[in-house]
Amino acid sequence: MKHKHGALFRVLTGVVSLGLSACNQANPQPKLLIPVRTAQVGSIDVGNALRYSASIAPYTQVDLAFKSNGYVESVLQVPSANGGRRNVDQGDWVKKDTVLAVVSRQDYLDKVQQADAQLSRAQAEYVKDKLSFDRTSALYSSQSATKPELDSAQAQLDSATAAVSAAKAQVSEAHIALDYCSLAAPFDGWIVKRSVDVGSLVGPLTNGFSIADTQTVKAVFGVPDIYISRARIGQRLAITTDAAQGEFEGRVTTISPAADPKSRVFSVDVSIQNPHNFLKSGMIATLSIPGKELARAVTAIPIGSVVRDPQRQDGFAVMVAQGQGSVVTARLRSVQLGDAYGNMIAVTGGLNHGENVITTGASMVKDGDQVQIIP
Amino acid sequence: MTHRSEAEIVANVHNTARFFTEHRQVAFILLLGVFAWGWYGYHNMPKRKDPSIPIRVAVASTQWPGATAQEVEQQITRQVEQTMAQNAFVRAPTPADFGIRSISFPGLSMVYVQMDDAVTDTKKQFSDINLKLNNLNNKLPQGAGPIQFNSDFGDTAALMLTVASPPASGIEIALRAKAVRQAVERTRSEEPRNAPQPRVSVVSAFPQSVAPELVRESFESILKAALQTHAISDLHFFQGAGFVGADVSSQFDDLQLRAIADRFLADKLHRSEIHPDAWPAIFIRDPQGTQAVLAAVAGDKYSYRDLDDFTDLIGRTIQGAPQVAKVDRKGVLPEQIYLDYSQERLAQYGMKPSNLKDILEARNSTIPGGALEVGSKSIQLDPSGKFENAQQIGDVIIGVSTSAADSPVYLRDLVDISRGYQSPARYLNYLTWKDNDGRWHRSRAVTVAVQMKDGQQIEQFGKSVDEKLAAVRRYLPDDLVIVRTSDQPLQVKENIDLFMDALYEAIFLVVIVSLIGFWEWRSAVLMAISIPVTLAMTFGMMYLLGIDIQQVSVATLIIALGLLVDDPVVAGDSIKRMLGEGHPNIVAAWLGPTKLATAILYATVTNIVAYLPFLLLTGSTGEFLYSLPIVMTCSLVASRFASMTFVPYLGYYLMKPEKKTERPMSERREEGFTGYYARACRYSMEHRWKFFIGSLAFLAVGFFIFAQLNPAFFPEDVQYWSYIDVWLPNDSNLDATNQTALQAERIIREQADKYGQEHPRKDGKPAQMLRYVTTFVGGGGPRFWFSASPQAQQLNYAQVLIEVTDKEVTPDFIKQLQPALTSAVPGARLDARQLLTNPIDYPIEIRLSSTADVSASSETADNRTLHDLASKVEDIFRAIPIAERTRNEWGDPNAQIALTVDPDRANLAGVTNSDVALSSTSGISGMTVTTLEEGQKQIPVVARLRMEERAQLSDVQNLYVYASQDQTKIPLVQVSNVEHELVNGRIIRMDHFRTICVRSFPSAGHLSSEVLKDAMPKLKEFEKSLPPGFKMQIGGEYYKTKTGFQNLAAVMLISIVAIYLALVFQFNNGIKPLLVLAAAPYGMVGAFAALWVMHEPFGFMAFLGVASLVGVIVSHSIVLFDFIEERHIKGDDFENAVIDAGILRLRPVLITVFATVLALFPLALHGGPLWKPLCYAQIGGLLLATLITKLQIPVMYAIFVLDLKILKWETKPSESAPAIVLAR
Repeated sequence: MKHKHGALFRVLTGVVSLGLSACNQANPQPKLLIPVRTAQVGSIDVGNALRYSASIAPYTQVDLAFKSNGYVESVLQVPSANGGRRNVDQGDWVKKDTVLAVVSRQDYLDKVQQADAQLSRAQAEYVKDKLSFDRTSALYSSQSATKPELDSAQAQLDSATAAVSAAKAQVSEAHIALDYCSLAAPFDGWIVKRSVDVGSLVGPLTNGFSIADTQTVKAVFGVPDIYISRARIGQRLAITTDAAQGEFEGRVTTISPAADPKSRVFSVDVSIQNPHNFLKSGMIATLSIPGKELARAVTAIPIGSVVRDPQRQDGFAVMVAQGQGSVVTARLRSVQLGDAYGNMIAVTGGLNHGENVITTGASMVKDGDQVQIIP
Repeated sequence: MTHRSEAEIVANVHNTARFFTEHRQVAFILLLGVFAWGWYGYHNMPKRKDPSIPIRVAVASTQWPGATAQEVEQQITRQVEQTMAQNAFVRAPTPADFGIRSISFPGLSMVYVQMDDAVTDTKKQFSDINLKLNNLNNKLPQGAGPIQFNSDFGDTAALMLTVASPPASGIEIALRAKAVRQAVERTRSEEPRNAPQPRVSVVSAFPQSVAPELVRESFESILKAALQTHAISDLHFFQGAGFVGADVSSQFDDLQLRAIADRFLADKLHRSEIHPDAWPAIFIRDPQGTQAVLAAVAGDKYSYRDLDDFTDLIGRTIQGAPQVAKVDRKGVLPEQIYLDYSQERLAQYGMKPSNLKDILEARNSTIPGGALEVGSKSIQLDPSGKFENAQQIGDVIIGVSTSAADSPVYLRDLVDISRGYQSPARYLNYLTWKDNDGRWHRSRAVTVAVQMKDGQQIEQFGKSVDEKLAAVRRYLPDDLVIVRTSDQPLQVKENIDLFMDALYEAIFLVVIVSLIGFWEWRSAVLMAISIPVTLAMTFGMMYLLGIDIQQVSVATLIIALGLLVDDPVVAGDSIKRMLGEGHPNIVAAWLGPTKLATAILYATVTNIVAYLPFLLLTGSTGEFLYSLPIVMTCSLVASRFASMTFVPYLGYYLMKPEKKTERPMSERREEGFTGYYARACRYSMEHRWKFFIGSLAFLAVGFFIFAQLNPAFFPEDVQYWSYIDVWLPNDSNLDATNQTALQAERIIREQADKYGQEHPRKDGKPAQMLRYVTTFVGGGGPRFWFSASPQAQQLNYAQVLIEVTDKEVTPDFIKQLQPALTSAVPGARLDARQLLTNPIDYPIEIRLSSTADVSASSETADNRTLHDLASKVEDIFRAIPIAERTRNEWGDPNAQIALTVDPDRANLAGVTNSDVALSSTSGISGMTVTTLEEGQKQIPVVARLRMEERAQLSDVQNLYVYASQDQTKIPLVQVSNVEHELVNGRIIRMDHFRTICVRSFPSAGHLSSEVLKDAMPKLKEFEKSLPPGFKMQIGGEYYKTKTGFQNLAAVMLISIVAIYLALVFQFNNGIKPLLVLAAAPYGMVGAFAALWVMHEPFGFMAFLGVASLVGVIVSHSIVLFDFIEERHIKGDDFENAVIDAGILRLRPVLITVFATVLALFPLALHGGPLWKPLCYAQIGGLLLATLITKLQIPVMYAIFVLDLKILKWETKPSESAPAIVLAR
């Protein structure tokens, strides 16, 4: 106000001494209020979620191998798109126990016959030995045969019995070998890969098909050591993919106990029910792990409202708008800052809920300035 | 002074006057020649609005992406500064100006260099600096440079064409509304009956040339975000040609929905990611109303690409005009092709982002394939696989699938390819214009700035550009908006016309005055002819001297007019007297002027020496006023020459002896007007001491008035254009700046309407005063005005250029606009600026420099101290009620979130810091992988992360860091820590030292000098409390005024000394000149009083008026003295001699004074704020000085002769009444 008097004094002296008007010395206008925008300090529900990308993998995927040697004789035929029949192939759905391919059976049939013959011979031998034993046994009871003769006949019969058992086993074995000529699906699933065709020579360890169970899929992703504590078995997570609409829910099923030595991430599996088979193997999914503070309310302010604290070296402050109606005063308030969530920043000290901080124009007001809040 | 007898003269003298009278044929031809010369000169002189003040500034900019402002300052700016300083002609620093000034931004260094005023060939010096800077290039740190040196920084555009797109046409809107309506109806019909209500369809429309994917991605992510907060539910997407949409259910109304969308845009997305050609989203509730809703948001018809093509054509066409030097386009949004990748997807393919570059570079190259001779022809083989369109980029095979029979994998499967614009944009241009229905539109625009070659006629420039423009208009769409947002040819024409009108009016007034004064038509006709002759000669001489026609030179002619009439008046008078004495025409016509030749010569010389020292003015002011002393001298010489040549020639024909003889002197002493004068004169001579003391008191009052005047250096120019500087905090992005500029534009329109209503036109309707508003966001526009230096490109700055229809309203409008802007736009500093005649960037500027930063390590502390000191100075100004918008140039440091790499973790993981940096820049900002050449355009192909993976701060942590050595990739979060820190947005150095400038503005109706007067005691106190090593300087207008006035005072002293010397020669006496000069202070008092009454500040031009008064006043007194001397020689009584001389001189002096004063009125009325103070000072000064000299000189003479006896007066015994019948 001192200046006002000064101006007035000058005006008066001017008028008195010169007798002339001094209307160019207008009184200073009232100072304009500084326009600002404010935001109420509120809490945001955050868990500073970490977003990860994961690749979808089937829950189980097995490679089906033949046990028998030989040439592939036939492959399961399915209706083809052009009306005919075609080999079963990747992307086809098969039910459990469907025979997918058959290896040439003749060798194994021969072996069965051979075993059968062997059995017949053994059985014939047994019959002969049985008769011989019966005879010796009768003779012995009539004291016509000696004990050694009976023992010999007994041994002969036991041997024949064993031979029959052995032959039976061989027959059974031959039958099993014959059965292994057809490769069947162990469970309901999708053929992921077919590696054989009619005529392929296969042997034990030859992968014929890969079949995947995608009723349940898993999303696999790597979590760095610092955040691994946030993941726990059984945790429910929401998963989205670019390819399929909507959200899927999954649960953490496994957490690897050791990190990958190179990238130092722990692999975490999340199983997801996939009854409609929307999720396919190899898709890229996005999921986020909530932070330590599960959906905790955090006092946060927009990052734009933070200014330099003139009192403290490298300190931060905000401008708080105090007062109601037309008289609003900006007050400097030192704050401690926490983590950033999105484009908001957490305040760990110095501010209370419900206070109004200046978001736009904070750097243009000084402590104690009168401001005007623009909606 | 010798007085030869007439007979002697007739016998011996053969001078020009005699020659011209006796050889009248020759004289006639020469007269015609002079007119032709003047006409030719006038039409061939370069014409401009203002005298050219060369801007001797060039700027070197160096990029160093990723570096902080401090690193840039230490590593680049300092080197550039030192290299520049090696040039010997860099201007010496002053508190208001700079030699080398630098701004270090994060990632960018800008160094301005200003050459000394003495340098005439700036290009040579600039190329020297450029050479030196080129050598510096390889000494820059890695990743920095090259240094780009722009020596055209000072070139002013002669014409600015802004090309803007009209809004989409009604037909287009109707067609699209139909498509949208059908899509909405179809979508709704497919929804289940029990879908939640109410339904609203959100639709985003965009030009059909834009690929829907570009818009869909951001559109969908906003809606999905809204879905999560339950603002909307039951989402059904649809899309069609030129629009994407979604039908949702929401309880909110349109406004709330828009607010929600805006919040998501701000929080979750970069708003700048939205395709610039997309229209704002609309909310459709009833499909029937689609068209109305769509029309309300309809965007621009032509895309940025179209505008680019149109302006390119315009630019090339205009370039063909012979007068055009350079054509620049501003606001062209560069096109880019984006490859948006998902880092996971890329990882699945086992690729790193850098692999994309290798693959594409290998494909997109020009390799010669050799030539083949086939028969008589040579056939070039072209094996190069240069991309021809964006489609082809997608077709590049990046590998083969392992599973499916070696089937190729295309790039398009891996990345989303979109053709768009540079995103985020760095510089945009908008035009706000009014259509025929009076509705305002804000359209995207491109501004074409056209420069004129040196030495060309602006009129012809304007004509040939007009022709070229008319020619090219035929190839452009009819509805394309092309407006001239700055038009020098028109301006020059208007201004020159205005000043020439003032000149004609002044001539007319002078003739009228002489007619009334002499009450005789012959003398008036002689005047009416001799003025054009003199002017023609002056123009001819100006042409030879290379002076151009501009406001100063024309105004000088007007000021000179009063002096010009003196010579013909005296000469004509003398001819008449000779005729009266009985000489024949043929003799009298030349004898009259010859007799007075010496007196006329000395009067002319006095006037010349009064003005010529103004050539010594330095700096831009000196350059601005350079033509004033020269034109003044030319016109005085011409007038002197004419009075000895053409006036006698014309006098021969025109002059007749006076029929009525003059009344005798004794009678005149007693009667009529002259009687009053004689009595007053006698009375004052009797009470001469009282009178003298009284006059001293009068002087004291005069100087008290002077103390009341507010100094203001140079007034603002009144122009059609004014502009608003919009400054946001340093860390603001382009979108925030654009939004603020938008608000400013809205306020401008509102205030213009308000102003129009408050100041209605004559017919009572509100005036439509706003013509165009042109906005440049992200940097200054082209230099459209020599004194308005464009700001460097920076995202937190916008320039809003306002053009009004009536330039007289500009000062008032700005006064009204500024408070509205200040009080309504939060978070930004808006300075409404008028254009300046003399460049001063800021009226109040306090410079604080740190001059003792011994080591770079103390820089942080040093900067902090500077900030603290600046805030103290700011507080001083904030406490002053008439100061407003106080700020410092650096801005406050911004809180930022920094990702600091943990070296241990990074090392363990096998990545380096540079890997981190490379991965994060290429992920977030994108990495140019190749270039698509399309016509003359080089369109960068940029690979960047998909928007969802980089939109938020927290996303950045998930970014993969790829090791350059092997296939390792790890998330960024694993090797870095998030920290908060304060970052300096800019560091400014002035002449090698960090300097922070505190700036303030006086509030409307006040002058910066008033503010500084209030601030000065505190500033002095503050200066004393400065820590060692820190320096305060007061720059701005204060310094310019101070030095300008000192400069002018020195010039004034020189001119007074020169006048004194001329008078000494004339009078052959050292004392009498002092008597003559004694009248000058009274003239000054009159000038001060006039300024005070007219509320004009005491500026440079007022000072100039006061300084030049001396010569005019003295030249009036010279002839008076001449008369007294004549009577003295004759030995008359002292008192009578003095009074008689006064009486005889009364009429001619009154005529010349009134002629001068009246001639100044047109200039005061039309000349604007620049000339007003000068005119008022001269008018007031002349009127008062004339009054005073008529009494003061006799009084002073009496004191010197009668009391002090310094001058001798021997009265011869009286013979008879003096035989003077007619004195001039």
